[in-house]
Amino acid sequence: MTTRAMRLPATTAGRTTRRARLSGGDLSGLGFLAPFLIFYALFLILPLVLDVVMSLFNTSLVLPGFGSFAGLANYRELFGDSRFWQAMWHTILFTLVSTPPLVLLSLFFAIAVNRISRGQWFFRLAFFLPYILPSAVIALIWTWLYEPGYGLIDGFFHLLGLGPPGWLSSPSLALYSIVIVTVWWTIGFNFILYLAGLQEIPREVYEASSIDGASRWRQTWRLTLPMLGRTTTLVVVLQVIASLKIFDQIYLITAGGPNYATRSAIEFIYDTGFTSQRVGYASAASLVLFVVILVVSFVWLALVQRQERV
Amino acid sequence: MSAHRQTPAQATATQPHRLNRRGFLAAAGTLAVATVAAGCSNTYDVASGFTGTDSGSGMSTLVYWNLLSGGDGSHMQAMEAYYTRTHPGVNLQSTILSWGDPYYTKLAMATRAGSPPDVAIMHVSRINEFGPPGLLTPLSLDLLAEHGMQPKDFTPRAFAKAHFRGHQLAIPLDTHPLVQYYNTALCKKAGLLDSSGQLPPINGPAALLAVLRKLKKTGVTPVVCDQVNDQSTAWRLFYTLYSQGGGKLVAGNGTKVILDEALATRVLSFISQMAAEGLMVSNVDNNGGTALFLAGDAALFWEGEWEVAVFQAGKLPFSMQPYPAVFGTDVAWADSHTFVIPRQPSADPEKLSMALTMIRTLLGQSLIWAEGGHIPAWLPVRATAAYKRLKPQSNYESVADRAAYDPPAWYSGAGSDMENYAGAAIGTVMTGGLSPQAGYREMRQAFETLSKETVPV
Repeated sequence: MTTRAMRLPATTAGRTTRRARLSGGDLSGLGFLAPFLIFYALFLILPLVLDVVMSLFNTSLVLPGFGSFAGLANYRELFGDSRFWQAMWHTILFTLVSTPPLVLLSLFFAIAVNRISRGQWFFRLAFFLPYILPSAVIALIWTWLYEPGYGLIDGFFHLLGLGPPGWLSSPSLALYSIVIVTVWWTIGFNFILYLAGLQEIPREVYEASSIDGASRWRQTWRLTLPMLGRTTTLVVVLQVIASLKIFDQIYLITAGGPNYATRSAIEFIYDTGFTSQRVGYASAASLVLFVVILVVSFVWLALVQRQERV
Repeated sequence: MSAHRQTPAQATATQPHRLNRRGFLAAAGTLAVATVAAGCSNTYDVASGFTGTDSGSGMSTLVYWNLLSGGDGSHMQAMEAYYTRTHPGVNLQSTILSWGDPYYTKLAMATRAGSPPDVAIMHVSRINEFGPPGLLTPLSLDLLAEHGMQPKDFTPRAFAKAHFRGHQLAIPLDTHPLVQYYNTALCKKAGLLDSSGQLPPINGPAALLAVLRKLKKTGVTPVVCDQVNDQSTAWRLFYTLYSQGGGKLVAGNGTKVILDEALATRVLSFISQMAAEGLMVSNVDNNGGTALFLAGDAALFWEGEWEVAVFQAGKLPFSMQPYPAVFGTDVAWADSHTFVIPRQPSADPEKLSMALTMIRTLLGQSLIWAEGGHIPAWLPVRATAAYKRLKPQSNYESVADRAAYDPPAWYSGAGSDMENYAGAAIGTVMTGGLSPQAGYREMRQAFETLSKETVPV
C-alpha cells in the first residue's frame, strides 16, 4: 500500500517534465529519428492502414481508386474460402515441421563444431555458407537435385533400388521436400546464434564440474543446454516467425503445386492480389495472416517474460 | 511540482550561450530532415531515369517492354537491332521482364500509375483482362493502314482474336501452338518413320497409344510432358485434347461454366491411362522435360514450339509436327504474342506513330522470329518460300488457322487463374495423384468459384 502511494506522485511528476521539455531538445531528437520514422511511416504504417481500408472495398489492381464498398463481405468470403484455409494450413504445417529440425539440428551441429579444436573455421563456414545464397539460387540447385532421371538425390535413391519418390510431383511429399531445402538453406543462421551462445558459457563452469566428476554427456545435458536457454528462446521465436512467412522457395520451386499442395498463405495473398487482381480480397487475407503472426508473437513474448522472471 | 515545470525555462534563461552540445544536436537533426526532404524534391531526375523521358539529347526515346527471354529473347534482340540500325534517330529502350504474372502485374500497375512503356508485348489471351479497364490504346484501322498494316496482312484468326468489343487492341506477331517434337533416331528404331523419314500423322487415341507402346518396347521414355512448377503445360495438353473434341469451357465472358463433364472426363481418363501405363513422364519441371528430350532419353516431347532452338543448338536428330488429332480434329492450344500500346497519360500522336513504325519494322523481320519456332502472323512473311524452307518450323504452320485460344474471361489467358487452377488439377491427374473423376471435380469447382468472384476489371 505504501509503495503504491509513494509511486503515484512520482509518475505524475515525470509525465509533466516530459511534456514541458518537448519544445526543446526533443525536436532535434525527432530530427535524428526522422530518416527512420519517415520510412517507417511510409512503408509500414501507411501500407498497414491502406491494407485495413482496402480490405473493406472491392479494390482492384487495375482499376483506379478503392472500388466499390464491400463492408465485411471480403472477410465473409474469406472465412468460407477453402483455398485460403488450405493455404493457411500449409503455412502452419510448414512451421510445425520445419521448426524442430531447424532448432535441434542447429543446436546439435553447434555443440559438435564447438568441440572441434582444429579447423573449426571450415565447419563454421560450411554450415553458414548456404544461408548467404539468394532464394533463387537455392531453388535452382534443389530443383535439379530433386529432378527425376538427372537429380543427384533421385539418382541416390535409384542406386538403393527405391523407386523415384516424386519429390516435387507428389502432393503428399512436396511440402516435406521444401522443408528439407529450407533446413539446408537456413540452418546456418540458428547455428551461428547457438555457436555464439556456446562461447558465452564460461570455461570455469565446465572445469568445476569435471573436478566434481561429471561426464561429458552429463555436462552437455545439465550445463550446456540449461545455459543456452535464452538462446533457444530467441532461436525458436525467430524461427517460428520466419517459417510463418514462408513464400520464396515454394514460389520458385513448385509455384505452390502440385495441385496447390504446397501453396502457403503468402502465396495465396500474392496469387489473389497479383494474378486475380483482387487487391481488396488479398488485403483481407493478409490482415488475417498478420493477426495470426501477431498472436504467435505475443504468446512467445509472454513465455519469454515468464522465463526471465524465473 | 511547480519547480519542475520551471526548470527548462530557467535553464534557457540563465544559460543563453550554452548552445554547444544541444545546439549541435539540434542543427544536426535539422540537417537530417533537410537531407531527406532534399532527396524528395529531386524526384524529377529520378523519375526521368526510371521512365526514360527525353533528357534533351535530341534523340527520341521509345520504351519497349517484353517478357521474352531465352531463345525468344535473342531473336527479339536481333529484330530490335535491325530497327535500331534503320532508325538511328530513335533510342529504343527495351526491357525484358519475367514471364507470366510478374510481367502482367508490372504492366498493369505501370499503366495505371501513368508511366507505361510506349510499346509492350502481350499475349492475345490477356486482352480480356487489360481491355475492359481501359489499359490499352484502341488502334483504328485507318491509323494501322497509314503505317503499312492492313487486316488482310495478318493470320485472320490471330487478328480477330486481338479485336475486343469493337476495338482493335493489339497487333499480332505470331501464333504459338502446342506441338509434337519427335526424336527421329528413336522413332526410326521403333519403326515408326515413313520412307521420307517423317513420323506419319497420328489419328485417334488408339493410334497414339499404339505409337507410345511401340516406343516403350525400345526402352526409352515414350513421351515427356512436364507439369512440375508449370501448370500452363498441363493446361495446354488438356485444352488441346478437349478442344479437339469440340468442348467449350465458359460463356458470358467467364460468368457461366459450361464445362462438358463427359468430354472432360474422357480426356482426363486418356491422360491418366498414358500415365498409368508409364507411357508419359510428367514428374519433371520444364527444364527437366527439355533435358530428357535433349539427351535423347525421350522419343516424343509435348510442348509449345518455342523450344526448337534449344534442340537445334544441341544437334539433336529431331523434327516437329502438329499435335496429333486424338479426339477428332487436329486443333491445338495456341496463343499469340501481340504488340499493344498501353494507355498513355496524355495522347502523343508523334510517339504513337513512332511506336507503330517500330511495330511494322519488327513485323517485317518476322522470319527471324519464325526461327524461334513461332508461326509468323505477318502474312507477307508467312507466305514466303524462305519461311516454307525453314524446317522443322514450318511443318506445323497450318495450325495457326485452327488455333484453340483460351476462352474469353477476366480470369483466363497466359499465366492466369484459369490456367493455374485447372492446370494444377490436370497436372495431378498426369502424375496419377488424382483420378480423372476427381480431377474433373476439382477443375469444375475452381471454375465455379472463379465465375462467381467479384469481377475486378
